[in-house]
Amino acid sequence: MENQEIEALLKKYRKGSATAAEKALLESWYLQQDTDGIQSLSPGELEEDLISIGDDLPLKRAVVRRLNWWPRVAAAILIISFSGYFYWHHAHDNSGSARLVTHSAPAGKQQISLPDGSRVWVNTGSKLNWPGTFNKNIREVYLEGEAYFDVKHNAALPFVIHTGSVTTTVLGTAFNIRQDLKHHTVTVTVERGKVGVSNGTRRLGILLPDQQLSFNTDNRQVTQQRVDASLVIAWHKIDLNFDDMTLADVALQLEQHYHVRISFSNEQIGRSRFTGATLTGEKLEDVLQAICEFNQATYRVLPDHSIMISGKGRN
Amino acid sequence: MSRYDKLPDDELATLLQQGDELAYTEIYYRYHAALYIHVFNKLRNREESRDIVHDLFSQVWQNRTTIAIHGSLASYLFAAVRYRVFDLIDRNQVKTKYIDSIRKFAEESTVHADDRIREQQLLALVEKEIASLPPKMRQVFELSRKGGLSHRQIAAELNLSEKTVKKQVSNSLKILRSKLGVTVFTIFFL
Repeated sequence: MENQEIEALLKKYRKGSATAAEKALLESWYLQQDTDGIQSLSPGELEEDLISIGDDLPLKRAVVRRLNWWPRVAAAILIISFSGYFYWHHAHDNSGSARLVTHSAPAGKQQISLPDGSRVWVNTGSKLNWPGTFNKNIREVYLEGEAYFDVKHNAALPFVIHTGSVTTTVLGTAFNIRQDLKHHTVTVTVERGKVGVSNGTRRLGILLPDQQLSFNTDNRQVTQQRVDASLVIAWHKIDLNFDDMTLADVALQLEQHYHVRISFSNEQIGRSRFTGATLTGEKLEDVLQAICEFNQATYRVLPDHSIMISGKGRN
Repeated sequence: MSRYDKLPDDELATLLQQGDELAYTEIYYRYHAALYIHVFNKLRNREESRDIVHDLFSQVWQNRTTIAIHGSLASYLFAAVRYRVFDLIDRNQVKTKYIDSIRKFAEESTVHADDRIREQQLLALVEKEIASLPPKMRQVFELSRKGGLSHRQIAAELNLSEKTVKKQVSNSLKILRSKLGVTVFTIFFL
């Protein structure tokens, strides 16, 4: 075989037009090419070469450390949570084991302060579980239902929320998570900061303020959209919610909440209906004024500090 | 539910085709060192060998969505560098050395048409190549395959030259400067 023939052969091989026999010749040669040439390199040279191969490649090296931890952490935690969560959960329910603290809000919202300074507002009918103390590597909690989180910033201590199979990881930010069991969705809405959401090892997205991500746990579809986060999270600021209630019932709630006594000048106004909500920290006078305006009524404070609402009522 | 470094090759390949950068990174760390050693054994030229492996991974990312991997990811990668080696030989200004070698081989051996490289054969060869590494280099290979260690740590661990370490410092610092990197590092090695 002449050198020109071999050159022609190489060209054919590159073009993909070599015959099986021709390919076999080149590939056999390739295979038997000496296999210990690498010994001529020193470990330092090999190390240098291996580093420079990665130059300019879109490797998530630094970022691997930064982002890759949530799948990793999530995986680690999910393993614990599959055994641990149910154990803790049931242990707590059955025997009040100290391993998991459950905050449920069967009727009315609940605000929880965690030892790291983070605060969580758990919505009505929702439940937040956490191990009672955070370990030194991670802050993790388990949510069923809806909660608004205001997480104290700590770059060294990721805060991880498990909502079913969805893992939300943050360092310090404010956001809302809502699990809708009926529609098989978990929705994360960010008010402040940056939030990572994943499902197992699958990264669902990274959210910035006013971004919302919904994950359908049934068909595993992800949708992301821009929203007004303040509207989504408004619920946590609402203190008392009156949904088409009679004023008498409204008064009952106000009495409990503000520790006052409220009476009506006549029964009819007590039977008027009212829908509205009060915001946290709102003054009783403002609430009363709103109720009275709506029902064409007035109120006054009696000498014994109790409150009398008078008016004809709106039929 | 598992970590990227625990995912089998075929799952990584699927994730890569979906554009998953972390899967790409994992594939890179899993194979770049073995591919480099394999290519260097053929070419005995550091720069050419580095370029081949670098260009391969660069292409893999660029074509991630259209890439067609028949068979295993490993055989895809090793076949891809083989084509690149022949490419380089053919384009090489001084290819006489290789051509002579091929000619000599053609004269001395009887090759049958079905002697084409089979996946098992190739992977066995690569295993052999790696097994034949001197202990220190094996360590470099293993550490860089894991990819989780910073190069500074590799250098420190392997007591490499100061020049090598210096070259690595900028890389390593990037990782270590951010507190988060360090923390996550800790989590990783829990």
